[in-house]
Amino acid sequence: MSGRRSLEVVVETGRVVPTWVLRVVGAVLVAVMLLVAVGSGWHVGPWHVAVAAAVACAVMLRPWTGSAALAVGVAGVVLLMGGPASLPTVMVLVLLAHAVLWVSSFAARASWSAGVEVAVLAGEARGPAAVQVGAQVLAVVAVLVSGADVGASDAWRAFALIGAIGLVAAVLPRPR
Amino acid sequence: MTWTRTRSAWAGVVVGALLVLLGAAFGRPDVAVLGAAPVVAAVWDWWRRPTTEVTVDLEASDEPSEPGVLLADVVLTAPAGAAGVLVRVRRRHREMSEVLVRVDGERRLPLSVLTVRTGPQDLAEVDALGIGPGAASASEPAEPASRAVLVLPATRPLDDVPLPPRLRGLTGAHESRRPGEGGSLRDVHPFTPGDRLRRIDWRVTARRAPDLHELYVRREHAQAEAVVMIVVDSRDDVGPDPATWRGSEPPDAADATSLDVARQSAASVAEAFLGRGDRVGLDDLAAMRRPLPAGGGRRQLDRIRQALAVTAPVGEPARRVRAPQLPSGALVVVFSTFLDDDAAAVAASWRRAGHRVVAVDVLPRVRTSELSDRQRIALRIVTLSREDRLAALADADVEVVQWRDAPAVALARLARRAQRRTGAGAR
Repeated sequence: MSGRRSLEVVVETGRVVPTWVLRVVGAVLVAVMLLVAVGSGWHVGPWHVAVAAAVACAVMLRPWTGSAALAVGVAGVVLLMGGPASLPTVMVLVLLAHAVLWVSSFAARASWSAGVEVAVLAGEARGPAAVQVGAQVLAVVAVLVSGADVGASDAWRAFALIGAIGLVAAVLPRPR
Repeated sequence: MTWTRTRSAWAGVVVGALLVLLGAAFGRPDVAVLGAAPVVAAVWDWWRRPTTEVTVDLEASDEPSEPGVLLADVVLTAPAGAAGVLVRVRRRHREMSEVLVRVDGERRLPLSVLTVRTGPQDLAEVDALGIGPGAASASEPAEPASRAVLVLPATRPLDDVPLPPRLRGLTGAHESRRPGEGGSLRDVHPFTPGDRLRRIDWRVTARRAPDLHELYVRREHAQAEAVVMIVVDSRDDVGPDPATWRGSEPPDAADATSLDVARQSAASVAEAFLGRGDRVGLDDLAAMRRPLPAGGGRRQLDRIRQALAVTAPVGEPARRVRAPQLPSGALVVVFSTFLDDDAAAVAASWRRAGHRVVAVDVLPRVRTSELSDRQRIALRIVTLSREDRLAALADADVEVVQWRDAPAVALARLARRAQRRTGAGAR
């Protein structure tokens, strides 16, 4: 057991992740997602990195405003403008978009100084992981439907990613 | 009970749906699939959301607490399906702790509050907010839970304490000057009617009156007890920061105020006397009620600590026409900040009436680092008048002890002065 400690008041809880860590993780995921989206159609330059960092900062500072969803929308529009993307890129973007929204949802619920019990995150991660398995399969189908060239290595990567997510969904504790 | 969708969840659904539509419109399934997972997850989370309410309560803890630590249990109940409960703990309107915890039906979270304050106070106020699956929905805030507690003053050991000039009774821990039983040898005296036969000292008799024309008895000092009246001046409750003395803002919660010091010091002095078998009473200069009469024993200490804990400044105190009456020969210990003349005048009048009076200055060590120039000048004026007042008390033969400066040593020094004559006071 650990405690949420201030100078005066201590609440004994289980292991806790500070909310600021969640916000930083969400911001990093946003930056990576935007850069992957840009990289699918263009060469990533310093301006792209700067814009991605700015959007990531916005998500980190004000996650409750829906800024994470806006970042996912930006990534989608960039992907649309950049032309058909490869299978690994689409699968990674699908994973990152969902992860960004999920992490930001929890980060938005509490203040900087708050904490989130690890048990809460572990208990809630199974549902999104199960949804991700279906979404990744859908991504493979979508890329195949769009007529993109899928090599053997891409197929193995897709199989590995879906398998890994499925394994995570199976290992995580079942909801009550 | 209404569980509402959060703004970030709404935004995720809207953006996800737009991406699906955008992908469909432009014939780009890779774009459409980007928004599919957030939409599916959001719909699933909304479908799984709980419908009943979250409750929070603050209950007394079963664990034994240490001095200065208040213990309680935060009891949370959440419906099945809730991801967790966001718990916010506030104290004195300041947010102290916030944590999102998992609750499977019911959960107890031990809560400990460190406090230097004594007396009646709110232990904490706890808010709870249910968080739905995926943090996509939130409940209405639960009814806040709070708990009022009465913090009794802790005591600190005092090695020695001064005695009054006159001791009372025929029992007790102190030796009086009167003849009696139980004390040390007073003298050897010729036998008189009323003396007990077992008191006859045959050796002295044989030496002084070999023919037994006279018998000699050993006489002892009687045992006696002291009567001590503890008088607390609860009209002031000031902290170390003089900027708060005006009363417009409360003292810092982490600072012990003068009343906290007075409660602790009075309880310590009471414990020291009661531990020696003396009788201790309590009066409050600000209250017009009957004083707690002098008594002895452990239960009297409990009564005194309880009475001290509920002592607090209430409005404008009534002015006393004369000093409260005290048992004759009692030692009077006055606990005050001496920021005005009233407590000093009462202490001086008791001294003039023949009581031995010890004035304990309970003003905390003053912090001057953050004062403005005007405040420094005001503090200087207050300090000068207070020093004059304490000097006048010393001139009036009232013994002054600063509680912030090693009070045990000062009280022991006063006690040594009292021991110059057996069973007598200092002078």
